[in-house]
Amino acid sequence: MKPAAIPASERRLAFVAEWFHAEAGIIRTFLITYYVSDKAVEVFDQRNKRTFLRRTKIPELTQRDFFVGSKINVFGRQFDIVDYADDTTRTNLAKYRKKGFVLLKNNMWTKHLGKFLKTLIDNKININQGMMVQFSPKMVTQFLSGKDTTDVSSSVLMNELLAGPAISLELIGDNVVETIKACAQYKSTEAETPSVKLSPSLEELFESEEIRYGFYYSDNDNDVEMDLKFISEARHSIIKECVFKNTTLAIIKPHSIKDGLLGDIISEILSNGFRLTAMRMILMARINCEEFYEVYRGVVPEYIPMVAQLASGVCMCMEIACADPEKKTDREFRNFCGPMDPEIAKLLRPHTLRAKFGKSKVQNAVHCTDLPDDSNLELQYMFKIID
Amino acid sequence: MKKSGDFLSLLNNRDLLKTPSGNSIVNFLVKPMSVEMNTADNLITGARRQRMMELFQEDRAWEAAELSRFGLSCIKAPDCYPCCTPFECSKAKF
Repeated sequence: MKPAAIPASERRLAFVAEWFHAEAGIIRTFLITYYVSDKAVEVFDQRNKRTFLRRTKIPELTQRDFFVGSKINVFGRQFDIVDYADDTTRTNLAKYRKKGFVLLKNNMWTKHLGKFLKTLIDNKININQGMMVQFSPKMVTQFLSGKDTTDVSSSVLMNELLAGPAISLELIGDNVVETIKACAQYKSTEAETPSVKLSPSLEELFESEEIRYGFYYSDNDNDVEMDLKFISEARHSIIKECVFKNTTLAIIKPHSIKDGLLGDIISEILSNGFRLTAMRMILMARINCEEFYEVYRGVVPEYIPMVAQLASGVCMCMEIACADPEKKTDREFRNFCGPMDPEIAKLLRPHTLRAKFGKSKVQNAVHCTDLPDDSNLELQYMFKIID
Repeated sequence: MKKSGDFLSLLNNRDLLKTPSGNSIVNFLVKPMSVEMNTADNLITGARRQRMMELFQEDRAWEAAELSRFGLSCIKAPDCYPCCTPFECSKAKF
């Protein structure tokens, strides 16, 4: 049985996706078709030659979720998109939707992380993956080996990466490598004329010398692939360890990331007396979301939609500490997040995160640890247990 | 059952109790441990839920008190705030 006939005029995107069947230990291949007009998804099982999921609207998924290298969650099943399925999709996306890699140095991201992310997102550059990393001398040497850099610049970069935790970001966007390169070389008289014209917001951001020199970037596709591979393979060795002392967990929910609020929320957190001590972006399987939210089962009636929301896309997990070490971080941050219901928050606590960015009790922008004793449990779950 | 040098890794198997095994260590040590761990986990989760419910009750009490100060005291259910719709909020006097 083949997929249903599709009118030629209807715009759709078709991808080859893989699903790892954990119990059987095999990878199965599917054909996923996304219909732009009604945000519907159709899944075709290539092995059994039959429709696995007929055309079904999934509001949580948008066009920007579909690109080679992304992971999507369809009714709790996680698919890895590995290739384009037809020439039309390849022609429309492959030429422009590229991956980029940047490594934000410690002296830059501690001051400008939120603004940096917000500007990239506003310029249609998605943050696909992110992780706070702490390099050891051995690991930074491995990272820099094979790079086409002079001894001096290599040594300087090594020292900067060893000075404190850095943040690695995998970017997805049109001509993202050229764009980042043009940003880094903005106002440089020595560099060749950039092939990409920067938008006014990018120019404004990279006016600052601290930002312009505050990150490492891969300047060609080969380096991007090599750097992403290194970060992926060595992530257990270089991921920044949690402090686990007077800290708490914060999760920026998938709907906020899809709405482009990641940078705004991080800016709000960092400008209100909090600091990041660990960070990673992950796509959680539904079973893990259920396990994580187990304590809310029977406590709040929105348990099931909360699980569905957390499983709907990539979320940003952060370990948060108070800038003032005398304060109790879990209590302070919970107060800063505000009531679970954004409508209540807007009325009673208008300066809280959920009042500013939340939409409903389920889509309330961020998760924070409610019980003080649960902080370490939740941190360990997100940073130690979930791979 | 697939042989494993680390029997403790079997504890993560959700279907461990349903899977037959000819290994005496699995039958008389690992499976009882799994039962004990599940029981402990349920007890811990139950205690956490109880504390969470108490915390949420405190929050709701605070919210109700704060709402009454704005003249919005028509909360009808603990998990439903129809009075705090945008229309109702527009009628609030600050």
